[in-house]
Amino acid sequence: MTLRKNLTLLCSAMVFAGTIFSCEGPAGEDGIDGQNGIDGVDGENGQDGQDGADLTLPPYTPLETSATPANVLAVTSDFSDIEVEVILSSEDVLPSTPDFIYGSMADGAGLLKDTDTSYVLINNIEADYSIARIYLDQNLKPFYGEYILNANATAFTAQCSGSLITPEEHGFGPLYLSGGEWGGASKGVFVTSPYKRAEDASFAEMLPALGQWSTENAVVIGKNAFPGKTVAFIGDDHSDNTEPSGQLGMYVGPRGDLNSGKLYGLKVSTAGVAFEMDMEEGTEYDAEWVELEETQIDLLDAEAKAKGVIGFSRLEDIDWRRGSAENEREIYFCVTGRNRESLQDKGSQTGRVYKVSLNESYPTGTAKITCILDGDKVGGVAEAFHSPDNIVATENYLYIQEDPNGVVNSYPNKTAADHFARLYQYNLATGELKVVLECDQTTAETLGYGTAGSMWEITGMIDVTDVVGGEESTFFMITQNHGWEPAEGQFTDPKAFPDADNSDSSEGSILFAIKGLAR
Amino acid sequence: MKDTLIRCIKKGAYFTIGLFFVISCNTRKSTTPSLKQYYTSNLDSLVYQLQLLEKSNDLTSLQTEYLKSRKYFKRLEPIMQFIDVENYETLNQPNLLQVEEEDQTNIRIQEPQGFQVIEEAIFTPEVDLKLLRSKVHFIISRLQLMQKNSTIDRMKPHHILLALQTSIISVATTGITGFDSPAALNSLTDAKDVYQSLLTMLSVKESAFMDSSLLDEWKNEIDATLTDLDTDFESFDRFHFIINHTNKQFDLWHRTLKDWGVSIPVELALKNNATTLFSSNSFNINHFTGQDALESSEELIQLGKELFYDKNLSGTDQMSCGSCHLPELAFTDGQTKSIGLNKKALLRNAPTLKYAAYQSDFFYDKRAGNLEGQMVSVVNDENEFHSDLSELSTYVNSNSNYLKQFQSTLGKDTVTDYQIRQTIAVYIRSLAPFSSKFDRNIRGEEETFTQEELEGANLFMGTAGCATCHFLPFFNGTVPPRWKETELENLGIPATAANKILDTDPGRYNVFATEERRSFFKTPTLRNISLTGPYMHNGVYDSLEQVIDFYNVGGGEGMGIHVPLQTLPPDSLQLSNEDIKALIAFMETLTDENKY
Repeated sequence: MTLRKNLTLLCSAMVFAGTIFSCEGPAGEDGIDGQNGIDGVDGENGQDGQDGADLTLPPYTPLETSATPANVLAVTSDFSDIEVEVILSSEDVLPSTPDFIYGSMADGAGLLKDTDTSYVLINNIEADYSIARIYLDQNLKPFYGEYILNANATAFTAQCSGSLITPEEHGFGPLYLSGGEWGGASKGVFVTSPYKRAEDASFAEMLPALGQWSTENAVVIGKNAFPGKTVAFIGDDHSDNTEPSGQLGMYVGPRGDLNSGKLYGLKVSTAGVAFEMDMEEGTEYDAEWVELEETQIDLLDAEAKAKGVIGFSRLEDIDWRRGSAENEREIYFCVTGRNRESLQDKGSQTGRVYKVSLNESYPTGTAKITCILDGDKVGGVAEAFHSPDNIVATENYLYIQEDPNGVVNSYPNKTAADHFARLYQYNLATGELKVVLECDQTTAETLGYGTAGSMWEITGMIDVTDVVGGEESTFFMITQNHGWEPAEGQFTDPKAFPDADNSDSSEGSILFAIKGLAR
Repeated sequence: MKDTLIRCIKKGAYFTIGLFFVISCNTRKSTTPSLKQYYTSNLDSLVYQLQLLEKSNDLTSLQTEYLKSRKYFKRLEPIMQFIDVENYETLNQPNLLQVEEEDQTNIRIQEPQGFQVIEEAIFTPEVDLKLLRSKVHFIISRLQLMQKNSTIDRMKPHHILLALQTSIISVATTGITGFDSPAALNSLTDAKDVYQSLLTMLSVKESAFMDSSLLDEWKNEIDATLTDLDTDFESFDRFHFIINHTNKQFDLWHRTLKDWGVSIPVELALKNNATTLFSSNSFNINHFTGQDALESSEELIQLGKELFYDKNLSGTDQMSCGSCHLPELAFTDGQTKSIGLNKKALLRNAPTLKYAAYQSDFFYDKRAGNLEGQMVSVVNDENEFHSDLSELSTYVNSNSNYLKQFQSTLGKDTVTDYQIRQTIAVYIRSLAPFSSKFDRNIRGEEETFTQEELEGANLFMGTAGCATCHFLPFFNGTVPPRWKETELENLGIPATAANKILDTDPGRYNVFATEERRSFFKTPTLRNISLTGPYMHNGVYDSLEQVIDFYNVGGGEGMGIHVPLQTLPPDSLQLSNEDIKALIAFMETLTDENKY
């Protein structure tokens, strides 16, 4: 401890000199390297400082009601008893932070308890390449919004799905992981403290040990799955027109350690499975984890392929089942699908959902994989799938959210998928798949929210029941409202994207609370 | 408030650099700087230089600071292009609108960013300072993210060697052609900076050399390379640079691999044992085809060839693949647009199948991801095979001759339509002999180029700009050194040789109706060009003279046709008649000796 203090002190002094030089000096020729000095003697520890005063916050005014109506979603009759409410949308002005804009294409999210009477929501704002922090009161009314990671920090890399690591669920944290996938090409996993100061929004940290993938998401599974270990899954949203190339990565390290562990990829070991489409819906296949030593994007992909790691047609969101140690070893993920002749019989075209059951003793042991829902199966349970993208696993259900990629136009047999983005409920015990709700873009268009021709995405759903408590369940869910742009200005906050008037996207987002869904 | 902010930032900086210093303290026993120190200090300098550039106001200092920044960027290139290749490519993207067409509903369009963008913004009479600064700011923020999250610690000896090889290829195939310095034409200085860095990387690894004379050989070779690069962009002899240096460095690289006792555990596009860029044996075909492509064999190629010429594969028994892809014309058909069933003209000119393997996408609009997928469209098209995949397999499975051959090659009693397509693809992929006069010369097997051909080669790879789109070694749009993507371009091809109006074929637009992709077509190979006329996707030009004239005036836009988002600069290439003759003479050396 003392040594580090001393070194830091020494370095600060050295660097200070360097700073002066680099600020004012001309760019001279490189000099000859000096000799290293002898280490100084450690200094004494300083005395403890005085306790600071208690933090007092000004009284904030919450947003009582969003300007955006909830009927842009149509709930099906099977779920008529659920309550859907808009918490916040891009057109809302928070009374206490009126400059804050809930930006373009909100995506992954996580909710933490902040104080006895407030919560903090961490939320990726994908198209503004940033992460927002929004405080909510005990009634889930937002009262304060800010950005903790801006587009400069991510170097204009889209933050897609996100996941929160908390001491309660994971045994360490809190930390927020998000995937850097498109746009900026800073591909990999970003890690952010939920308590990061907004002033430091320009500094981002990545996790190189988790590898350079076209990362959709990185998800750490529950602490009971493998005591003493951190096991994270990485969804590789790699799109390829030659062969499905989105792999399922796994990182295994000591508990709380996201830097010194090892990387693995999932390989299906049952004979005859070279491609995902060689797996049929409902059949369980043997799988194993092969160690991957490379982390550089091309070498990692080549190594994984050479070692037989299975590729999916764009692996998207991942979640793990709640409820017991055994449940926590059950992983579910969405494959969004890709419709190309060159991928026929190799990769999913309209989307699939898979289950991976991990080994009960150790994470790298033999596993099982099952395609539980296959959108390409004509007459099948999931025939209506139109690009399932995001997934939430509770103890008894999966909630599957769509990001329609237009398969209906290019895949004439897929009339069942001719609908707006849907939220489905899948019953893990019975296998029943029900539609919970669908974006009602016909109504939305008449209300001035985009056009029916520009399909929205449903995303970012999280189960926050354990955080907010209460009798009935609470979920958050987000829509990316493609085609909905403000009459004036931009749905982009200048604190997220400095040159907001020239931001790459201005399509709005809506954050909903859904109460009463079964868990 | 402001003071607080500044203090916070300073604190942040102390902390970051403090950490760095702790690390460098640990390595104090070494006398040469580590690779990490070399990389980090150049990255720091680059950010610092860009900050100076951001503050500059007048043209002279903008240009000076830009060139200084560029020097650091190029020094960093060999390492950055390896450890952080996606970011490197972002920083070195062409100054063209970026269109990512993921899916029908997922089209992302972004303004270009990076060094080429600021270069074009600075090397112009009218500088838009506000725009320039925002572009510089983007680069700085990207570099700061890279600084903070560098993976240089993960570089093992095989990574250093791969980075070295990638750089050598990069300089030869894009660096010296002017590909990434279109306005300042700083390419030869860039190449020198890259080679200086390669020398540093090798010197840092001095202790890895068992045979120290090998390091000396490298030093001498890089010295000689630097000497040859010390000339001007126009008169630089690129052709002999590749023969004398690139080839030699391939050899040194292999010896170093052996000397270091390193093996490379994975294979990318280039095979690890490749001794030249100019051979089909040098490329890992699975990189281009995917993992499940059938392994090529003489027997399978013969079987694929038989299927290729079998008219019974089509619905009407009138057409085979060979109907539009004639071997004596390098597998084109000499027609403006191919003639399909019922003598109906098809959409476009038949492309050569030679070297077709080495592309990321197929058809002029890139709508198919591999040859096997491309065949599906041909089989289904009512003006082509007018059949379907099940008919295809029914026919082949009822033919005892084919079944016998499939039994002996694949060990199958019956075959799927996919295996039939895979087999034809094996034949098509075999059509890459690298046997042209150009190949024999560039490999150093013979020295038979005439003065005119040599001049043509150097124009092609230099001031005429041809090689900035038709990349060596395939002369197509597949971009080295990753060979992951085959590019699309919008040249503004006219409808007729009268050069008055834009061709009505919307090209890539047809695939996802992306307006920003209207009139975009894939860059085809120029190998065997003297056999593949008429030229362009619509066969508008009969002669190579017409083609070069088209480029020489700046494409459609240069001819006065309005072409939104033309990717070819609309300026004249200033080629003389002699230059044009020399270019054609060179292109004629690209004809394979064994024609089929």
